[in-house]
Amino acid sequence: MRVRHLLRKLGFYAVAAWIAVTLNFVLPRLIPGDPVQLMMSRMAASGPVTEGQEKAMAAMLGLGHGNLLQQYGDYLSSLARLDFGLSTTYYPAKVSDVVAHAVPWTIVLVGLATLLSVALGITLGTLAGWRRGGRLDALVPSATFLAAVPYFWAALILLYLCTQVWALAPSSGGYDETYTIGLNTRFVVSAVQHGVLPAITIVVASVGGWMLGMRNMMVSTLAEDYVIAAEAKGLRPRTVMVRYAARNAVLPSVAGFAITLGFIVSGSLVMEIVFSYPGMGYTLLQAVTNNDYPLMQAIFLMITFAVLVANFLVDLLYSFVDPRTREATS
Amino acid sequence: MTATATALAAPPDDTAAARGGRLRAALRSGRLRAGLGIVAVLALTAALGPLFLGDPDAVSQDLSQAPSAAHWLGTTQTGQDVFTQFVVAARGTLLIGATSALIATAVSAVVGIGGGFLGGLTDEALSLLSNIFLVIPGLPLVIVVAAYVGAGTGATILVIALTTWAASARVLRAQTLSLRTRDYVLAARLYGESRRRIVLVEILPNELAIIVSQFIFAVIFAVLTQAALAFLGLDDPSNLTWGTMLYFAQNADALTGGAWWWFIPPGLAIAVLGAALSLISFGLDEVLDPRLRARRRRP
Amino acid sequence: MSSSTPPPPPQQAHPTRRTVLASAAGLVLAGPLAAACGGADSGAPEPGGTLVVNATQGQLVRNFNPFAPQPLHPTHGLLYEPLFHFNAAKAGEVHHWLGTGYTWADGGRKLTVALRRGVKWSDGKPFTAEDAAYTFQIAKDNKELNQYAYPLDTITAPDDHTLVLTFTESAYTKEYFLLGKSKMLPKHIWAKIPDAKKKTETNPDPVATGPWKVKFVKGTTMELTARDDYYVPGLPHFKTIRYVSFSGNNAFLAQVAKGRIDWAGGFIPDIKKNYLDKDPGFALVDVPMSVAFLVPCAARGVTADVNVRKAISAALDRAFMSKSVYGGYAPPTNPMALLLPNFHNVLDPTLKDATFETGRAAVAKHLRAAGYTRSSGGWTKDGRKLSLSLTLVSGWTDYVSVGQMVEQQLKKAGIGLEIKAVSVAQFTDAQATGRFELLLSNYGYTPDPRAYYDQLLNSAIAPAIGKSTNVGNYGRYHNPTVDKALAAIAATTDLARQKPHYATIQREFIRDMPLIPLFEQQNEIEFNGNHVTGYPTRQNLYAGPAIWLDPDGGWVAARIRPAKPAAPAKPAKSAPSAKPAE
Repeated sequence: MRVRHLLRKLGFYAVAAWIAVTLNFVLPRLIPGDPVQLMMSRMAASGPVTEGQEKAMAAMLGLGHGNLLQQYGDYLSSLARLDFGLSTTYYPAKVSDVVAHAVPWTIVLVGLATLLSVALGITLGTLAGWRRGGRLDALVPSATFLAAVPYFWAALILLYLCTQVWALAPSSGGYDETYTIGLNTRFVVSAVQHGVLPAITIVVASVGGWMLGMRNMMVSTLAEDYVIAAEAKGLRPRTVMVRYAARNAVLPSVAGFAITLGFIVSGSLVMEIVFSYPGMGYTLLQAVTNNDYPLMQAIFLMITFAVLVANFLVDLLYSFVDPRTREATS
Repeated sequence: MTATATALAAPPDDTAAARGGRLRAALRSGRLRAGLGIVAVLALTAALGPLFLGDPDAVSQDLSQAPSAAHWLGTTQTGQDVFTQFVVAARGTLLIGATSALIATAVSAVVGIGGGFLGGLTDEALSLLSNIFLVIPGLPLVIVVAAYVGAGTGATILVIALTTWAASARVLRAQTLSLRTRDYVLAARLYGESRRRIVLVEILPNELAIIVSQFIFAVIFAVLTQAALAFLGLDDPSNLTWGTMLYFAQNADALTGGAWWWFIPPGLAIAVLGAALSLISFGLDEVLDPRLRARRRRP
Repeated sequence: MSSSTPPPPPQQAHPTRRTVLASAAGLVLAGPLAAACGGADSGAPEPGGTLVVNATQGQLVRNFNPFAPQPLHPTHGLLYEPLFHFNAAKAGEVHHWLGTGYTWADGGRKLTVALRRGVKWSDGKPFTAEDAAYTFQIAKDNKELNQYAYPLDTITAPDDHTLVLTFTESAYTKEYFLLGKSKMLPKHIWAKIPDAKKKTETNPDPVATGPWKVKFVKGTTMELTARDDYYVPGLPHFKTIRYVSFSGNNAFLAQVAKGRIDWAGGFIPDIKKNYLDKDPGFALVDVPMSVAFLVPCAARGVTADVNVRKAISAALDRAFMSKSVYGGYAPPTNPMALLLPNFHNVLDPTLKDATFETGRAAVAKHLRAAGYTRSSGGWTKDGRKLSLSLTLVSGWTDYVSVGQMVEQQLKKAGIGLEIKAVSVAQFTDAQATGRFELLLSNYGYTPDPRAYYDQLLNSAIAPAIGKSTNVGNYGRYHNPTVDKALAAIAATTDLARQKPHYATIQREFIRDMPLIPLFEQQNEIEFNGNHVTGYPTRQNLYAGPAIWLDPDGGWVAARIRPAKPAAPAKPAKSAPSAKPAE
């Protein structure tokens, strides 16, 4: 049973991954114009371009040999080797090298901010659910209204207020670019300073969702017999809240949230763009503005795979912990 | 942000009297009235406002002026009247929001109800499809697609619809699955009614509330996504929306240059629109199922 | 053969939307910043120590391959050097670089170059004619590495300091590329790399003739240190160049306004308030490298009629566009679209005060001549309203604003205009295939006036509509008089004999208005005069002032000097001193 469930899940994610990969292959072939022209027009901004260059460029990019099926085969096999090709902006640097610079920024900042937001959201959600109708609980609907505020707009205002009006934070970016990256105090301090504001915006933007999910699970868990029984036994309310209710409520709320992982990712993309934070989202936008399709596609695939894997792990964890889900799949 | 699983829908209750009562009850809800009022004002502004105002692109010699009697919301860096742009942009924004939400909701109704009702392999395939769209992160996909397809209002609408429908399809499918086994549906089947009739007459009306609520959230989502896309420069800048206004404002460093009157109103308007729509949705939920007041949860 | 200059897209790496628009103006950031190591965060500069420049946005990826389309900026000019310096800001001004003289023979089929003596590669080996010959041999042997399509026939090095090239056809038009753009490569390094791999090599540790060596490339910073054995005594003046790349325009603005960048070319909105007024030492050098145009399709549609083109031109208020979109920094150009002061040496003196014909009456005159009649709704001909579409790139917001203004101004004159804002890819496609009515773009970026007019007007480079070209003449303009004049200019290198033909082209340009010139594309370069001096100015334009300019950036980088330290104590001669300031 468990094995079958696992295989089923695995199959699902494999199909999802295949669709993402194929989408990624098809999209560039719908593009009007061709990459050679784009590169040429870009180069023309730093000096004249000649006819010979166009042919040279086409040869250099190794465009279009074989029919579509062959190209698809080549594409899949290079993906399997984790070979995303060469970035057109940084030609002939490898896309993977370019991305490698961006990944740590995103993982550290978005990772830390998300952990913070989960912890905060679950704590607040537990309290709100426990004291249903209390002051904290009354705040819950307003969290939903917050979701209607365009994130980038609010973040830009915050950035403006904190950098220009009150000078609380350094300007945008991941660190003071006049310093050298490395383990030196100046760099580390400036990186931390630059991270605070973006992290706060991620937490503010996402804590409401976690809180709401946890609060609702708490409300329904509190109605369960075992919680009522525990209360009847005269256990300390704190123990009932944490050991009985919250412990059982947290898992479904985490699992329920797995599906919104995509939103978290999207949110952090916009955050990076607003703050010019040198992570994946920022690099994605740069790739888009530079029409660097190989880079753009690699980032899209990496983000998608990260989300798929995270979802799979949550599914996996959940199905091990809660036997009921095994029946309830589909 | 999509989706409000109102999975526990109201029991079927089709008499006209009951419906009228529900409507009256609905209008008693303060949240609903407030929400509807705001949306009505915005929609009227969008529909009629541009008729009374000039060309939003018209430039003048008044560059970057603060709000005044002549320019209620000041002017842009090229001397365009921000208030005129704001009103005309309301039209563009609402049109894109409503159209993509409509498309997304229609697709989700077909996929969700169709799959749930038909069951079997069709259902398997359709729910696989919606689960996949649910799990592929939306914004990166939208960005990549928009980057390839290019800026254009039609493209933007389709791209947004493409990434929105899946969540509500899932909700509708779940609801259909539960309705399918209700007595009155089974009875209709026994009577030998056609599938189409069963779906249109027995199932669809009973999911209307959910569909409306899904639609409302789809509008919020579409407006926010469009604003984000426009802000990133991935929407047609010549189609005026609150998003493209923000794009131009940001590119002209409106905020840092002190031209808050250019940057603040469009974003605020989006937030107000979103809040009003949420109010409507809350109001509807309360009216349709009082239990939800305590038990709303996200899917 | 000619150069082409498509639209001015992002320079390298990573412009944000905002820089894209800046680079719609063809710029990129450049700028030196002091504050080497040691100093506190105050950013106190260390005169004579470090030159802080900003040339790009986004991360720096270690790539110094001269064959790559966009290697790191120092590659061209700071590290690898060409034979001569063709001043990008002043046509006709040529200085010795690795060459000390050249002569053409055989009607442009033979070129003899005398090479400088005593030049050493950065690994200590001598630079000889062998290296120069090998550089051109690569181009001859590999079509895809022959970037400028040289018609090379033989390449010989009769002695260590002489290079002789022969061509299968006259190569006068390639002069600028052969002598001013092709960078000399060390044979002992590149001969070891198979030709097929030359283009995909990232060449992380370049061996070159330039006055700098790469110290490190990390994230968004890169440092080059001065060689002490450069062949021009006393150069370079700085010990270190530090390239700083920013994640976005805001970060750039914050740093440049604090004076922490010595040489930059970023877009600064309202530059007077946001930069120049902050410190009396801050200076702006604005030498346009290109001209912005409305490009009409001259081969078909309503814009094939010269009167319609002139009517459109007459309806425009260029000064207002410049004032509102560029704060007055992109002044209207001249009606012959001659890039000034760059091409002053070929200006037809009778045209030096030429101005655009504007006004309602002029519009009416031209449209009546074209057979249009004025009605309440606008101008009509054969029952059809005069209405056009303008294609522009949606991401270049300054152009979107310009487009909106063109729309407004034409509307007042009774001409309809629909703006098509598209992606860069779609724009490039429309431009290349000629499928447009009007385009908004800019062209230039060459120190050679012949190449400039050639890319705009030569009918030989324009294929039929639907066939694509990246070289130029996107409007498919055809004028035998202009073609003949261009050919005559190409047949000689004698400026005196070329001048009458340049005059012909300029007069034809005004008469026929094949493109509708708008304004000089703004190209702001900022210098922090508290730290540097000796940079090119309008008065002393010894080179193009932008650090991203290939290869002028390198020419300037070697010649720019630390400003005199404010503190009086320093001995006068100590230009590059390793000693810390305090």
